Amino acid sequence: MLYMDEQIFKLMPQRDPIVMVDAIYDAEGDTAHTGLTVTERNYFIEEDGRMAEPGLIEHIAQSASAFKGHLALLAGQPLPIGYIGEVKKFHCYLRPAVGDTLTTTVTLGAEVNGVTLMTGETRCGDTLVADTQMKIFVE
Amino acid sequence: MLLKDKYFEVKHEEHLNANEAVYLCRLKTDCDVYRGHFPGKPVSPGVCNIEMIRECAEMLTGQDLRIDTIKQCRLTAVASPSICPEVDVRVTVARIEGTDQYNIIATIADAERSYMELKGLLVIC
Repeated sequence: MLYMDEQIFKLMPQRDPIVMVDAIYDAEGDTAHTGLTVTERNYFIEEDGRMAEPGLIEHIAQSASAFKGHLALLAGQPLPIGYIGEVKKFHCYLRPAVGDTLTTTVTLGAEVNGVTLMTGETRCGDTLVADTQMKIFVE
Repeated sequence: MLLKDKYFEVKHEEHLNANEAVYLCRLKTDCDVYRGHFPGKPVSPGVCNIEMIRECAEMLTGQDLRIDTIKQCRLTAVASPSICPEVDVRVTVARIEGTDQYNIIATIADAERSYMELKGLLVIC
């Protein structure tokens, strides 16, 4: 475990009520594994206690943002603020429920003119929850 | 709906035909999301605009809809209640025959610029 709960705040600017990642388990090379235990305090929780799809997109985007923050911290650089530039080939297989623990693999690709390509895949246990490609624009 | 009357309000709607409508939406400055996105610097989260499109599609179709697939969603400009207090959310849906799915094409724009272009697949709950 590299970071958990409020330690993540060192890595990204998002704060309550839209903090959608609560762990970075490990990071090596271009790949990191992150997590989120879904609670009723998360954004995008619907009446049936499940998280709507935009919450999964934000979880994957913040996973990449926190990973980039970790890399900046290691390099002694200022914290980047990342915005989603494009979501491509997002697919939601199921909406996770309050209490579920999500594990996400983010892989960063090439960075061109401040735009980083990335892929993300979110699972709950062995079950695929969502996957996507994204372009993250860093300010 | 998660964000209607919390993140946005529909000020006016124009139905162009059964499958296409434009919702003039006001972005509410007092939405709690801006406490955290970002502290002291309110920026409308792209994912909230994606959800606003889903909710407009639900109003258009009268169905509860899930996002199955986003083929492509381009976020073409930073949005916030001060940059764009009111935006046009244009939604076009096409039911895929023999399924419970809709193809959707949607844009968010004002007179100044475009903020989002989305193509995807929605499924009836």
